[in-house]
Amino acid sequence: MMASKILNSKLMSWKMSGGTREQVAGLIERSNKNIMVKIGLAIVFAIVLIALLAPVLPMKSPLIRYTDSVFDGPSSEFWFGTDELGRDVFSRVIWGSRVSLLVGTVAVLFSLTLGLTLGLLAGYFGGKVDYMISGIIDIFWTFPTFLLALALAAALGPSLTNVIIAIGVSYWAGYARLVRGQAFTIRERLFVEASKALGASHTRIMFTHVLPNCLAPLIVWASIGVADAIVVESSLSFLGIGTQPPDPSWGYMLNSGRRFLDFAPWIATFPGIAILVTILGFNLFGDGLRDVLDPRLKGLRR
Amino acid sequence: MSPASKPLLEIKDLRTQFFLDEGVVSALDGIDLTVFEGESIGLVGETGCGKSMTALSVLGLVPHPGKITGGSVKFRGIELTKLSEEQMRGIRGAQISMIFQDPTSSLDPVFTVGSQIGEVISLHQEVYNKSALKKKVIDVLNLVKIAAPKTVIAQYPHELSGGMRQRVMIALALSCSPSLLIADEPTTALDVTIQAQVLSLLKDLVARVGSSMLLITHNLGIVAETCDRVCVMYAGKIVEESPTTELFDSPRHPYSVGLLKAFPKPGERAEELSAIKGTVPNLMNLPPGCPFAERCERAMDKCREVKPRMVEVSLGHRVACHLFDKEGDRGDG
Repeated sequence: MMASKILNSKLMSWKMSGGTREQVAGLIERSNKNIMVKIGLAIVFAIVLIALLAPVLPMKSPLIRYTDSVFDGPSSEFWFGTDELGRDVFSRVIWGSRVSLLVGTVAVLFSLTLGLTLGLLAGYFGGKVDYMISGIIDIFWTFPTFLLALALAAALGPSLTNVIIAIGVSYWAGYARLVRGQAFTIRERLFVEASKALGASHTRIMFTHVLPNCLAPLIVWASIGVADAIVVESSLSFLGIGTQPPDPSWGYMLNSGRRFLDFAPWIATFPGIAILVTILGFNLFGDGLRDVLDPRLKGLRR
Repeated sequence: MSPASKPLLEIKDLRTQFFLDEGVVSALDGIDLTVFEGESIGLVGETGCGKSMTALSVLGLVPHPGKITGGSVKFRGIELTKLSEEQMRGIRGAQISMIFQDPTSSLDPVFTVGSQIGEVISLHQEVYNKSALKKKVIDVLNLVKIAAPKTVIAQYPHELSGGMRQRVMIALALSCSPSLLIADEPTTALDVTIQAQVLSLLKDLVARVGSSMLLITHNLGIVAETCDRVCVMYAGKIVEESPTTELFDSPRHPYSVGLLKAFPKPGERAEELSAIKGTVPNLMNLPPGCPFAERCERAMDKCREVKPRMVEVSLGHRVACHLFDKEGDRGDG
């Protein structure tokens, strides 16, 4: 009952502030003003589109071996050439985007949810709650994140799900620290006290006042986190404990193409470029999102 | 205030203490204060004397490591200090509301004015319809005389001027027609012309809604303009309580006398404003006697040893000072 009341009034205030449509309109309007954001948005949009459309795009299957055209260079038939088994590198790069995006978004959502909840609790309540949660955060923080992900992925066994779990578990501490620090300063702000004095509960203040106020840096961090997760997935696949062959993954392709770099550079180059462009896109996109989500920057010419 | 009105808020011997590593600080050292229905009462005193702490104690929002350690706060006969956090939440905002000093930081920067007022309304009242809520928000904004409320609801706090923000804060506090409004230095952050506007608005609204107001301030001019009665606070205690005009005409407690001397009067060209010498005593170890004794020009030996009690000097005018305690030559500790 209480929960539905909170949800309801939250929904109303969301609606009254213009809702999603206005935010999206703001994003587009803002992105028109900043060329870098526009590029980032375009790249992310294109990659998402490509990943979604991969099954229906008119191209060769990523798994079929064209045995008479092993190590063929880029041509009109094989745009990005073929690999050591005669598979089409172009379609493998396209299909690989699905793995990268999936791992990137799901792993980030996972660590974001975990980090956000714990960080918010620690920062808002402080005291003993903070002491305990901070302890856990610090334990995870002291591990080099990549090594932790590597160890976890190796321990869990090679599979896509395990890679996502490994990345999520290794990277949440960063989000938690960020949110905790923000929540610490925000809970001291007068408007938190004012809304207490007007009858708001802890849960309500945490989610409707503290959380939205620390959202801006969090979103930037998360969009860069997506890029990070894509790199980690590629690295894990490169090391052989990520996506398993014959499924296409950029990291795995990079690894297998490495051996033929001197005479068939296209096998490793194109997935490498794909990783680069994707990460660039997410980073630019993240910066743009921050501007849009900060109402104080609204209407400012950049 | 008419003698027939009923008490709305009764504070009896309220003590709030802060437990620090260095010792115990008595922020409130036994406050007695009664707010009657429909009256405006001023709480004056210098910085750090416990004015704001009184307000926070009433609302049950004493920050850590502070605690209410004794006394009672009765609101309409309900003992607030014994209510659960959940029950207190129902009272805050709906029945007792508070306006803070700095309107800029009391509004959440990431939400529009409309959604913040809407939040408070939907928190305490069952409004489940968007247009009904919007109408209520606009009504409230009209009440505080904001021009073009339809534009303002879609604006963010930083897009408004200081005076507008304080009006929005007042709208927030009055949105559920509370019976008691606590205004903690509501005009300190505003410039003088806006101060006057906001004050007259507050006065007007409180009368219209029929609420009582507890106005916390260090500005005696504001008290003179707005309040029916005044309580003067010093070092966590109320030292004098009187109808406003009477306090200005004949202050009794040496501290009140000093306060009024330090306040410039228009038309009188005083040679020099006199300041009260010395500083507030350390709240961590209050002197055994009157807390003002060290700074008081008329202090007697007794003042340093025995705590003065409240004595009534005339109808509704009470003062805690040995000078006026005729019968209590022996004091009562």
